Amino acid sequence: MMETLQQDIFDLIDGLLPLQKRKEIKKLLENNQEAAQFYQKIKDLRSQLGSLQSVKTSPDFDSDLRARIRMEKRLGRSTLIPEYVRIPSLAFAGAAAVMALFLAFGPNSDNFGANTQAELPALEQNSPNVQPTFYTLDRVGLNKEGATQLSSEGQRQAASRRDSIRSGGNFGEHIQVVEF
Amino acid sequence: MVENFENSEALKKKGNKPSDEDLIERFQRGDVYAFDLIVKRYKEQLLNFVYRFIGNQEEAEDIVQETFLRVYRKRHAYKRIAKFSTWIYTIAGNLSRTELRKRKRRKLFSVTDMGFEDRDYEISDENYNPENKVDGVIQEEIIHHKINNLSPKFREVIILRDVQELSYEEISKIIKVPIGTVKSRVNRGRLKLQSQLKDLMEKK
Repeated sequence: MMETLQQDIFDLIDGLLPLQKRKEIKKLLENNQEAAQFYQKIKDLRSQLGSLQSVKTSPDFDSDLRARIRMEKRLGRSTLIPEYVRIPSLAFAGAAAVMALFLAFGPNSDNFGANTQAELPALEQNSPNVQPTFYTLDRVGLNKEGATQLSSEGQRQAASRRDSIRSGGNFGEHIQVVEF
Repeated sequence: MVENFENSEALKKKGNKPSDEDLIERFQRGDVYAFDLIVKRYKEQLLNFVYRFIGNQEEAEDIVQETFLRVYRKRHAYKRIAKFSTWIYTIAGNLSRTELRKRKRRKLFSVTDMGFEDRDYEISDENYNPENKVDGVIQEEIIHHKINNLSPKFREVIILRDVQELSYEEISKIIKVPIGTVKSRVNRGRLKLQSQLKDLMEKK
């Protein structure tokens, strides 16, 4: 059977044909046995499928669903606050927590490890040949503004290095790397 | 909350049937009885869709419950621009497809784990020939079995169109494919099913 005719028959069964076309196809079915048989078979199939017994939910369905919802609420996964409010709020709270941790344990806090790397004098920082110098905490303190500051011993060490660099000395001799 | 589906006040009101969209909006505003009504309205409908789609009633019930749980959890994600039925069917369809994929994976593992001797004792699908004893319930079983033999993409649209009688437009939105593709799948599915059920139909 022609594919277009087959399609028209499907559309006729689905009630998708305009009135005029519907009349045409019905007339054609009266004169074309093969097409009429096809129409009947598909119609029968649809009626079989449409009359399948519907299955019923088990008697426990509602109570099981209630239990699952209760569990859901207990786990706190559901709330009456809409997600578009809840998600940004959670994100904000998360960011605040990270910030608080950073302030508590970040590099400028007293709790940040046992050692710290103090600021190098500008001259040392700008020189490509100079390796960073590490000072133990006893040579580094915090000034009034909360910035790291070398203790007097540390400042002496830094001044000695600065002098050495200015006089073109061997940097390596004066760099004291503290074993942590 | 869902404490009493049957006795909720909303259910007692007669002659005033709110639309699905009204119900979900009421639920979004905190009216928990609206959720009871949604469950009551859709549980059998969805169960029939999922059961025909995945072929097992126990698993189907589990999926339908999960569908309602998602509606409960994601109620604020629903926007009135879409029909509620489309939304809930989409959720149920997605969960069913996920279950079918899981099952396929499990089947793949269990078959490869078997030795050759075990495979000899597998019941071949070709041995299943219930056409010999056609009557009421058996006939239903045959049709159910044949629907399950279709590939999921044909099975889903056949169930939605010919069993659940949804419109092509709605099916297209549920499975997210163009209407033309839905029509073509439905028609090809009908042809396949018709040829598989030929014997049964002729015996009628």
